Amino acid sequence: MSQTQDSGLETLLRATSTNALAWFETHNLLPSGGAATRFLNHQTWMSAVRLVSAADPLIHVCVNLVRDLVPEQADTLEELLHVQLARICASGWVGSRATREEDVAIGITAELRDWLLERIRIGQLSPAVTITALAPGPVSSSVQLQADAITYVVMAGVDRHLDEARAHEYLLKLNRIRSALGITAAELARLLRVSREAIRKWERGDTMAPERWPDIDGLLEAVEMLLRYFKPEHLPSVVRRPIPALNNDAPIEWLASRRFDELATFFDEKFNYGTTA
Amino acid sequence: MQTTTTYSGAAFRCIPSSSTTPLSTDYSVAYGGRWNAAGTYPTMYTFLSTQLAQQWVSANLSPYSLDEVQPERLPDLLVLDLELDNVADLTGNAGLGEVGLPRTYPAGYAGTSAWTVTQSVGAIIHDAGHTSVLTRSATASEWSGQVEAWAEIAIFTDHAPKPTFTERIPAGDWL
Repeated sequence: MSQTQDSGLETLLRATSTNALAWFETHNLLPSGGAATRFLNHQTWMSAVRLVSAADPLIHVCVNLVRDLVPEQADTLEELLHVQLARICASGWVGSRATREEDVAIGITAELRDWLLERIRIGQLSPAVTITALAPGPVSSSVQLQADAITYVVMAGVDRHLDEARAHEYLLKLNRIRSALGITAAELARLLRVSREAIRKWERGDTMAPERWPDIDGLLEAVEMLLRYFKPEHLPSVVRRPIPALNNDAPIEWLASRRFDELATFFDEKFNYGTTA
Repeated sequence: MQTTTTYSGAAFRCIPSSSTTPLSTDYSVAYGGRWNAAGTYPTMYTFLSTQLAQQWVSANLSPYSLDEVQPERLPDLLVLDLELDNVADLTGNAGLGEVGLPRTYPAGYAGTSAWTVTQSVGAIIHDAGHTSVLTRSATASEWSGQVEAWAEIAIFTDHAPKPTFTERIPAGDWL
């Protein structure tokens, strides 16, 4: 763990709220663009979506800092913090700090600490990890959160988490396709009919348009079909070898032209040995 | 057909390792084969030696090698015992000439595109009441010496006595 991560973890688990906020500000992690203020003022669906989006970087940094402490549950924590934004907004943290953005940031920190303390209590985390609970101070202004607004922020949090989980899932699928076929990013781009830049962006974690998902699913399904017939270590060579019965095309050409069903039929017949069960 | 023979002995059939009905001819009825058109009479295709069956598997998998294929996708070998009479004998020039096939058969008849010719011949032989066709294998490269090394028998199971199942050999033990 780097020095920055060490100081981040120390801050996240034990610092006072003032020191924690200072660390967040230094690292540009406070929810940006007045998103928290706008949400608490307007309490609309769009402002809830923006709040979740603005709080997202902080949630990810927090979860990544504690990931080594709770490796098996880090994903659960990430999901929880996305959904808990509603509770934070409805809790005593709102109005306790100078800005609503600070309220949300420190509310997230407090939720995370409470969750870790609970892990210690139920024996999932070593008691040797020192964690200081945070409680809201005196509230300077209170905001009444409407029931709809709570629903909005919960739904926006769930949506955001599901989008991220799906993006991660599709990144894994891309990796699976690339490693199984032994192809470069440029070749993958050709198979998916997108630019190389698009592949690079997806691999960096940029959002992938849902319209792309069926193409990736179709290609992966075809790759999995090939893996049912051929040993993984030979597949990169197998897919590049021209086949007389396929007009001397290699299977990778058929993958590129999305002739998945025809390819499956070809191999199904080849491996049926002219008989049937 | 005048050129006939009998056959008594072992025959070998390749089947998917997942097959639970190894004597089924459903596939050949559904898709046809060299000596039967799709949707007609049931035909069981067999080799007369394991070596020929091995050659056929390699040719069928080409351009891939056995080593590249998932082991569970390699075929099991079914060992059958046949007692056949009234076998149409297409291994020699007499039989080939009788059904209008050239003396060079199966040269030039390797692909499925040639099946329209051989299926017509098969239908005539089947309809004449023969139990099977003893024929040169398109997998072999020469057709002389011991017949087992280069011949196949296509059995019309609606005319022939049921083959006796002897043994099923997993791919790992015969390929």
